[in-house]
Amino acid sequence: MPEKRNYKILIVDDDKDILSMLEMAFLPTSYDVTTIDHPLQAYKMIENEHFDMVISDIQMPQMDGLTLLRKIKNFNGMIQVVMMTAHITISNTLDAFRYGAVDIFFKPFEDINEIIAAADGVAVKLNRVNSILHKLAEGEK
Amino acid sequence: MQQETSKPFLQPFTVPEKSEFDILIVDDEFVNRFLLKDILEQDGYRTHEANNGIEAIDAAVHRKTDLILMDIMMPDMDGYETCRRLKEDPRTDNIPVIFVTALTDTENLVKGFAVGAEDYLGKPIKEGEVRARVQTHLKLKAAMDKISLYNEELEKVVAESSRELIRTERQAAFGQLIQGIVHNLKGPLTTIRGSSQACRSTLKMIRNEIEPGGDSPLPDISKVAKLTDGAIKAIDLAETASGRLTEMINSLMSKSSADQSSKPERLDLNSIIRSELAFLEGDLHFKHHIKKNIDLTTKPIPILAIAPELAQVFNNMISNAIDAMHGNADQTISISTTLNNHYAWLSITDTGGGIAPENINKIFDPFFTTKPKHDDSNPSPKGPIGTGLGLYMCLRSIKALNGDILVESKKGEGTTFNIKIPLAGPIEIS
Repeated sequence: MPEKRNYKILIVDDDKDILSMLEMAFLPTSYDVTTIDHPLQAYKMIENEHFDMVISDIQMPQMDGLTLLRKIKNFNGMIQVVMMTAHITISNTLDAFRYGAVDIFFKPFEDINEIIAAADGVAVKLNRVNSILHKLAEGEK
Repeated sequence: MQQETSKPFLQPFTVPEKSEFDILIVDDEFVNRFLLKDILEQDGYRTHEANNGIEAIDAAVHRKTDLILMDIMMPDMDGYETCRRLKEDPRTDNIPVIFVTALTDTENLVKGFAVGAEDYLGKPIKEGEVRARVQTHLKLKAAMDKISLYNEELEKVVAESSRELIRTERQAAFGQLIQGIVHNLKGPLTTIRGSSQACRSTLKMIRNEIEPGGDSPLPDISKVAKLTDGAIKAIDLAETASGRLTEMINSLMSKSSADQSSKPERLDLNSIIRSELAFLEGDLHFKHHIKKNIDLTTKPIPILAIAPELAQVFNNMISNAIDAMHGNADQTISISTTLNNHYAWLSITDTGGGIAPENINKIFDPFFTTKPKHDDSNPSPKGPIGTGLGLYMCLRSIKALNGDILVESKKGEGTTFNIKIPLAGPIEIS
């Protein structure tokens, strides 16, 4: 059995207050949360460190969140990405799912606990998939 | 439609009745005047007379005069001098002058045309010739009058439609900006809402921890302390964000009340620029994709201007700069203010494609634009659109402040607009 890990989450938003707020909201959870206010730096971190989940804003200077999503999915399809945006449009929503996001949340959030619930859902999925991957790896040995 | 056709410049041109024309006859000889008067009145024209140059000028200024028939050889002031003076005076310079003269040699005729006469009649006069020349010049005069009336009317119409178009353009831009501003308000709102909810969850966990008969027999003090700190932080965040929200709303309010003023006031050029820039942040493209180098003087710059008009000029110049850089990799706007010789200089530089040399003298002309116009033939243009009135109106507004707009542009390198505005009083030393 794989050990139950504290999944690592990277949160990306150019609004530092929102980052602090989300960090706060995740405080009572067991997730290991890192925040960054710059999408290009965020991608560098994803290349260099392990993250299980990314929660990213869409409208950001330097790089659009949807572009970041595509780059992450290209780099490692296992990383689960949740999008958030204040720019509520049909195309943002459809593109987010088209490019492989697991969920999308609109600002201001209905309830911040929905984002934690989304992370929990991702965690359940990762637990299940990781245990299968683990078994497969065991079998190959 | 009724109103449209009543505008004089839309009416077809017709030559007025002969009886509506007044002809001034100038000659020191009564007999000569009488001969001409007789021919012209029989033909249906109205006439009045003067027997020397001084009287002629007086009559031309004070009585309705459509044509002057004038003798050359008169005592005191001859016909040449009289004609020269009439042509110098803006009140009489458009009245055609026909010399009636026995001096029909080339030298004298050239002299007559040189002082501005339109034509000549040889003495002794021939009735048919008088009628023909008079009729021709009156027709010409009527046509010229009509044309200058057309021009005046056209200018009025252009100015009015320009204002109308600018208003429409501004309203459309304003609508778009409002959307952007509302979007910007969502940031702090997200923080406030999320923090309150996170705070509630945290407080519930604290309560759970310390409640007797709860999950744990004894409260975990270090956990409670950590959660309490979190709750305090959440409240701090909400407070900061609500401060940001208030600031945004205040600047929107002051902008909208500044937009109401219509009289010239003493203003600080730098604050107008700052408030317009804050307002433009509502445009997501401007906020996220345009690099801004802002270099304003540290001290306020006092100028005398109408706040919304100046803001509009600035807004227009920035929009032009943004449009000029449409699709470029490097999109940078540099904005600076400097002081020089009783003038404030505002400089706006873009890194766009520059203005073609053949266009640089036309950019301030009304209706000149290099952007596609938005009209029936072009219902959904790609990229920036324009009416060609932006810079024209900008220059008008700045000239009204006794200022000027100068442009420097290099094809492929970008464009700088330097706006010069007179200072209103000394710079405050703080």
